[in-house]
Amino acid sequence: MKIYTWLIAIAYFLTLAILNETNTQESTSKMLCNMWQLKTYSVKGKKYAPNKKEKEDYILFKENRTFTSKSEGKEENGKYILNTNGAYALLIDKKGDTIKAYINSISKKFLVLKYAINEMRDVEVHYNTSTLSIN
Amino acid sequence: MKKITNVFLIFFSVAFGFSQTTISLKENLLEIKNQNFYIDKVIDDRQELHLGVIADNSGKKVKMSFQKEPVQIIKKFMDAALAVAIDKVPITLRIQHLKIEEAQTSIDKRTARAYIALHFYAENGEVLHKVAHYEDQVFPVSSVTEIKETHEKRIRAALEYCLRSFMDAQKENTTNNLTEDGMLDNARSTKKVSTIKTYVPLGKWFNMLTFKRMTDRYNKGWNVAYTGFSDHDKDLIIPFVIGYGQSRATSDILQKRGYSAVDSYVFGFGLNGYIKITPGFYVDLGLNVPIGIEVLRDLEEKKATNFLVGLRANQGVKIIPWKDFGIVVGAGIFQHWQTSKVNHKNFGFQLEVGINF
Repeated sequence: MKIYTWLIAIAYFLTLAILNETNTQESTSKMLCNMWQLKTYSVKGKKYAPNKKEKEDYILFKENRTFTSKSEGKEENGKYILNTNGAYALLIDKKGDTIKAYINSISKKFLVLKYAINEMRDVEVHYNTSTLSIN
Repeated sequence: MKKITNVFLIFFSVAFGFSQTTISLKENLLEIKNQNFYIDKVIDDRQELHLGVIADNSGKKVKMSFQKEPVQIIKKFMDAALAVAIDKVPITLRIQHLKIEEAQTSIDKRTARAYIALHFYAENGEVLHKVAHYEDQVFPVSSVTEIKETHEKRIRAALEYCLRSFMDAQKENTTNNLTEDGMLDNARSTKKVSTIKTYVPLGKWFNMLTFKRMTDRYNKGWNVAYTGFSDHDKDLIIPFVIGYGQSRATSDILQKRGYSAVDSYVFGFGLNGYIKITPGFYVDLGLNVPIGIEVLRDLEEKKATNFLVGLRANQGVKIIPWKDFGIVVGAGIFQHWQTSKVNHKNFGFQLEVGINF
């Protein structure tokens, strides 16, 4: 009898875990659609503050699958495609050039991206949600 | 009978030196709602049914395959993304290519790849969309285990890309979506149908250790070098080179300048470029800044040193007949200018021999 109680308990927690996981997957695209302000960089766990030029950097993912970003003070915009299985957003600029931004972790308030660019490959870019105006 | 065939297959796989590793796709994380189509059938048009041959940690070649029939696996993936329903348009998916690959692509990086080419057909047999996708991911060169564990993730990502590409193409081609019988009118026939380019594999990585003999008017010398490069599809290859060389002045110019012997010890830094004529045959061009010291002995055997810096250009050919393991031969000419006490300007010939591995 005892073993059945254990089995039911395990099944219950497994179901909870799976449901929770499904909810998380569904909400990745919803969570991503936000205004993300650059907070810090980290390389192998060590954090680095953005330099003066990068203080106002952000990335804004919109629901219509377009994005606006500011990188070292320079504004850019384009389309993005979220790849749920690959865990990345493919950013496509106006010229058609693409950059993969791997989503290392995401929650409602925090986003950690890793850009697939040679000089940035080991750098985790940490963003916080921001209430700042984009204008 | 089938059992006997399987035993033979396994026997021959082992006999030809390939062990087999299987891949299964984890749960598809993609769920697309509000679409009026579903994948009704998946047909595998590939000639080779395995996913690719990849070297494992010990360098042994392993044949990668899906754990189950590829058709079943892709269908399951598509069903999880798009709910099957009678009121939706059935689409047939034909797999043209599905392979995985990995190779060292720079001195400290390794690239892993899933490549997929899919054709989407309407129920009446009309081709609706063709898409091919390279899902590449770059890792540190030592991440062999991580690459192995993530092949299935890149396959899922590539499948998702193709599915989204089909959906986008449908949106672009028509203001309405597919009709329920899967028929398309002329306005919807896609012009992108023939856009799939030939597959370009990842370049083979070459490691070379070479020994070079150099002769010019005043000196005889040698140089040892490590060269690493990826023989990719582009015509100009920039290899990673690190080398060390020594040379000794041999002519009577020494006496004229008041020295009995001059030796130079030089490290080279710079840019080299290989122009690929065919795989294994390259035109080798280089521009280097040699830095080192020159040890001078005057006629009274008094020793003095001189800092050497210069500019060196070389042009030649390099031949690598066997790509996995074998010899490398090269020949060329060079010109250099340097802060030498003996000769500032010079030109000469070089012969090179080495191994690639």
